[in-house]
Parts: sequence; C-alpha cells; structure tokens
Amino acid sequence: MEIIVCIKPVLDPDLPPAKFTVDGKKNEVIPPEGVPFVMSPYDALAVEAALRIKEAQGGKITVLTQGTKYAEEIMRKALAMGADEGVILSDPAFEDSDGFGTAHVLAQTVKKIGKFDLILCGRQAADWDAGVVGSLIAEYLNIPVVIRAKSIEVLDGVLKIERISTNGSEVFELGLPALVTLSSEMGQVRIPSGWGIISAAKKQVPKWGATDIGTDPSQTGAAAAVNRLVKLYVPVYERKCEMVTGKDPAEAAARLTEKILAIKP
Amino acid sequence: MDLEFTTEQVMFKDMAKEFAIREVQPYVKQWDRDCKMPHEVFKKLGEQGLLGIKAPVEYGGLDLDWLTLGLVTEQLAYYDFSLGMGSCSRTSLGIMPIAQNGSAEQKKKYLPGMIQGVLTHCFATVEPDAGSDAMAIKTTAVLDGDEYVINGNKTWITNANLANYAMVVCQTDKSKGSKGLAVIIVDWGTPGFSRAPIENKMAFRHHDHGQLFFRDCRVPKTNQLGGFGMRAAFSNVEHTRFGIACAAVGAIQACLDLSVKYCQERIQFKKPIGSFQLVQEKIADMVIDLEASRWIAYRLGYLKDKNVNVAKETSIGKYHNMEALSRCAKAAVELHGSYGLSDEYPLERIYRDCMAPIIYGGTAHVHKLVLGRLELGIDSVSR
Ligand SMILES: Cc1cc2nc3c(=O)[nH]c(=O)nc-3n(C[C@H](O)[C@H](O)[C@H](O)COP(=O)(O)OP(=O)(O)OC[C@H]3O[C@@H](n4cnc5c(N)ncnc54)[C@H](O)[C@@H]3O)c2cc1C
Repeated sequence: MEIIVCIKPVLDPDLPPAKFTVDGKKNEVIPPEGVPFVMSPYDALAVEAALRIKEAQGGKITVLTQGTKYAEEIMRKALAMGADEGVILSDPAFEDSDGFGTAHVLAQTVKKIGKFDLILCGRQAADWDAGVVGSLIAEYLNIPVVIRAKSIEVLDGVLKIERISTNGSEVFELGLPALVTLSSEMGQVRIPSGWGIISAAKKQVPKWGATDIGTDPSQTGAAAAVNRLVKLYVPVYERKCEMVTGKDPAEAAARLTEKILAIKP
Repeated sequence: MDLEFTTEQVMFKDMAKEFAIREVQPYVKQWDRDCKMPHEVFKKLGEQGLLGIKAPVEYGGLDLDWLTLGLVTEQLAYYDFSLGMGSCSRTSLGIMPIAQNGSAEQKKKYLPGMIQGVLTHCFATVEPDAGSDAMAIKTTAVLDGDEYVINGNKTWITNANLANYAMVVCQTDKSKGSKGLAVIIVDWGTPGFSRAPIENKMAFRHHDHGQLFFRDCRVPKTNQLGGFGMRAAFSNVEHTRFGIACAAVGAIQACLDLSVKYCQERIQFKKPIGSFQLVQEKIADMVIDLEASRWIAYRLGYLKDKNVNVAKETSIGKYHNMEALSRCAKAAVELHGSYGLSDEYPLERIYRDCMAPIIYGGTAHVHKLVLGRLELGIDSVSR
C-alpha cells in the first residue's frame, strides 16, 4: 500500500486571540514572533490515518508539503510520527499560490512519484479553512475523492470510508487509487515518540522545485491565483449584557422570548 | 558556547510539551486534590521514550544528552512542577546509578523496566537523624558469608511505597568513615524490608514519600551497586540537582505566563493592573529571574554533556533557580490577588510545591556551604 499524505504548516490555531494580528494594508496575517507554525491539525489526522492503515496492512507513507518557512519542522514531525519519507516542494514560482496553484504543485509531485494507492489530506487547512486542495488534487489526477472522512479502512483493495454529513454520516466503498480528506471526528493523533524523533532527525528530506516536477508556470504563484483577497480584518465583537427580570420565572421567560423574537438578524 | 538547539532537542522539547498538555494538564489539579496520581502516567512517559533519554540503547534507552533531558524536564514542569521532577528523578536516581555503577545482571534486571515506566525505584539515603549530614547515617550492612544483613530506617524517601526495588545507602564499616559507605539494592518483598507512607504533605502531594525499615534484612552480596565511598553513594544526586534547576525554569515560565495574562486582563481603578508600576516591577523581576535561571540551567546541561566537573555550576543552578522560583511563585500568587489562593489556578500549587526541592537535593543552606567551600577551600562542617 503506497500512501501519500499532504500536510501544511499553519499558524498555531491555539494561539491566544490577543497574539493574532493582521496587516490591513497588505491584507496579510502578521505572524507573532517566536511562535512556530504547526502542522495543520486536520493534516495531522491524515498522517495518523495513514499510520493506522500501514500498521494494519503494511506499506509506505510519503509526506508532501509545499515549502514555506516551517515546512521542514512539520515534515520532521510527520516523519517522527512514523511516516517513511518526505518531499518538500520549494520554488519561488510556488510562492503565494492559492489552493488551485498548490493542488497543481501537489498533483505534479504525485505524478512524478508515480506509484500510489491512496492520497490523504486534511479536510481543510486550519488557517484559511478553504478546504479545496484535496478535491482539486483528485480532479487533476482524475481519481475518486471522498471528503470529511471520520474513519477509513482498506479491505481487499477496497476503501471503506465513513464520512461526516450534515445530519449524520455516510458510508462509501471505492476502489483504489483514491483521495480522502480526514475530519476531526477520526480521533486522537499520536504524539511522536523519542525513537521516532531520533530516526526523523536523521532522515534526508529532498526539496523538489518547479523543474523537478514539471509545473506549469501559468498555474502557480500569485499571478495564477483564482481567488482575490479583498479585505482581511479581525472582526470586532461587541458584548452587551441586559438583565431580563419579571415578578416570577414565567414572566421573565415571556419577556426574554419577546426580546429574542424582536432581534432582527 | 553554541546556544542553538539541535533539531532533535527542539523536537523532544515540543514532544514533551504536547505530552504534558494531553496527559498532565487536564488532570493535575485533581491529582493534587486526591493526593495521588495514576501510575499509568509513568508508563505513558516510558512509551514516549521520556524515561530512557539517558539510558543505554542496549536496554531500550535512547542514550541522548543531558540538555535534552533538561529541556524535557522544563516542559513537563511547566504543567506540573512535581511531575517534571518525578520524571527526571527516574533517570537521575533510578536509571543512572545502575547504568553507571551496576553489574551486567543488575542492568538487565532493572533498566528495561525503568525505561518503560513499569518498574519504580527509590533511592534511600536520609534517615531520621541523618538529613543534611549524610555521614551520620546509622543503617548498617554487615557481611555474613555471601550476604549483607541490613538494619536501619530511612525516611522521606520518594516512591518508598511504590518502589519495586530500593537502593539503600548503608554503612558497611563505621571505622572507615565515608569509605565504608555502599549502596545496596533491596527488592520489595525481601524478608525484613517494610515501609510506611508519609501523608498530609504541603508539597508534591500526589507523589509518594515514606519510611523504609530494615530488620535483619538479608540480600546477596552481589546486590551491592558499585564500590564503596562517597562517590559510589552520592555521585548521581548531582543529576537530580540538574533536574531541579531545569524544572524550576519551567515553573517560573508558568508563573510569568499566567501573571502576564492576568495583569493584562484584570481591571482595577479602571485600568488593567499591568499598567501600575508596582505590578510592572514584579513582572520585570520575574523576567530577570526566568532568563537568569534558564541560562544557568542550559549552561549546566551543556557542561554536563562535555563531561567536565560541574560541582560548582550544579550548586549554583540548584540554589539559584529554586530561590528564583520561590520568589516568582510568591509574586504570581500575589498578582492574582485572592484568585491566586484558589486551586482553579495552578499558582498556589507551584507556591507549595517549590518548597520540596528547596529542601531535597541538598538544602539551600547546604549548597551555599558547598559554594563557600569551593571558593574558600575551607569546609564549614569538617569534623
Ligand atoms: C519531597 C521530598 C522528597 C525527598 N526524597 C528523598 C529521597 O528520595 N531519598 C532521600 O534519601 N531523601 C529524600 N528526601 C530527604 C531530603 O534529602 C532531606 O530532607 C534533606 O536532605 C534535608 O534533611 P532534613 O530534612 O533532615 O533537614 P536537616 O538536615 O535537619 O536540616 C534542617 C535545617 O537545618 C539546616 N542545616 C543543616 N545543617 C546545616 C549546616 N551545616 N549549616 C547551615 N544550615 C544547616 C538545613 O539547611 C535546614 O534548613 C526528600 C525530602 C523531601 C522533602
């Protein structure tokens, strides 16, 4: 079983809100000093899913990440968790790509690797929450995709996936190769062990650029972006507290109901 | 001195933090209230490899550097100072005496279980009448054929009631003074070996401490660990002192982080209390204590990894960092006002817990005496 997992570094979603600031003029998030990026937690679930499949039936896990500043750190973490190999995709041409550009880079990398049965991604990146890269990679590679998986099993070469839907879950079976994106309902991600860290710290992680994977320059970078960010700002929440009283609980409840109904969305 | 951490050191630090956030932080308040913690935590630490950092690879350890152990201890101590110490002491006083002085059989018997967190040690020096004055110990081990016969009492021994084996500092020949000291391993279950807990403690409440009693307790002569004399008996206490210096850094960081957040959020006189200069002074003092402690601890780790004599640096680290922690814990409780006294915040626990390693690992006074002796060449307690 050849599994490819795509991971992305993001600003730590557990960052205290006070540390989160944006540059409104440049429409950019200002990364707080001294706070390292982390593997997007949904992508960590994808690594975990790959490890569980490998433990059940053997195989090889290759991790891909598009090279921003913290690519190396999160790659080492995935390797420490138990992934076998990793490739960092790094080229000035890839910088400021949107989801479409990133999916193109990742799909080209998968084509270069050639042999794969399963691609796993997070359901969305925990920074922009767009959730398009997984589906787009599948589209570019022309393979089936199931998004927001809660559990994933491989039985006799057939994938069995339970995925989260609006009001419950759905079970799919599909053949390989395929792409699946993982959701938080899958459960807890393992913490790398000391032995995993020692082996990961020693591993060589190659960097591949545009010429290595044969990306189309018109499809990557800021110029190729399909999305345009119009305005980035931190919303201001206002909280007002009004005590609703009454001579007894029933009257207080009736007044409260009136007030709720009077709120215009 | 190279101040950059290696990739591996950073990864261990991050891993220990992740472990503590998942396995320690949510439970520590209740452990402290209940005065007990599940032994599972040590098994989990073992599975992570955090108990084998300094242990030989052939017994399942990782054989890494002291600085890595220091960084891990700091991270665990950020969430639970006492667990940071408990975890580190398993290396310093559980694994190291055997790894450094043990026979092949002793290593085979104890090291794998210690590294996995399934075995528990205790290291027993202190007695009712022999605390700072280790030379006053009365526990005797008398050779009778191929066996040592042990008689005596030990007190305030960490893990006394959980230990699968005790390493007991004994006097084998009083006429030889310190040269008669030896460490003898006594497995729990050996006839003549009993124990009792010490309860209702101010600090380290969820960790076990107790008394050990030996009455004509016979063990094979081969249970002796290493040779005779002060070095054989006490060389590993130095590692615990390093652990104390590192754990203090984690706890000071916790005091500072909580205080900064609280002082930014708590409004009095229509302003965050952090805007008052007297409050800012306290924060500034904590920042200075943190930086000084951190670099003392890291440099000590760095020097230990160079295998040089660190007697002076160890005493400085143990003394300074614990004094710094006690100042910072007091300041942090004070800055939180009445809330600082509630166990809804971890500060009152840190304030209590920091008293334990001010006393153990050599009291603050003792370390000042060590530093005085090293500098003056005069031993204040020479007999
Ligand atoms: C939580 C905890 C865990 C412990 N775990 C262990 C363990 O696992 N194994 C073990 O063997 N022991 C352990 N101990 C015991 C610890 O090592 C001793 O408590 C410590 O060495 C001090 O001894 P004492 O309590 O008898 O105090 P004493 O030595 O009686 O000291 C009392 C006071 O007198 C001062 N004093 C003593 N002599 C001098 C001097 N010459 N000059 C100036 N002041 C002096 C001391 O600094 C102290 O302030 C533990 C203690 C605690 C609190």
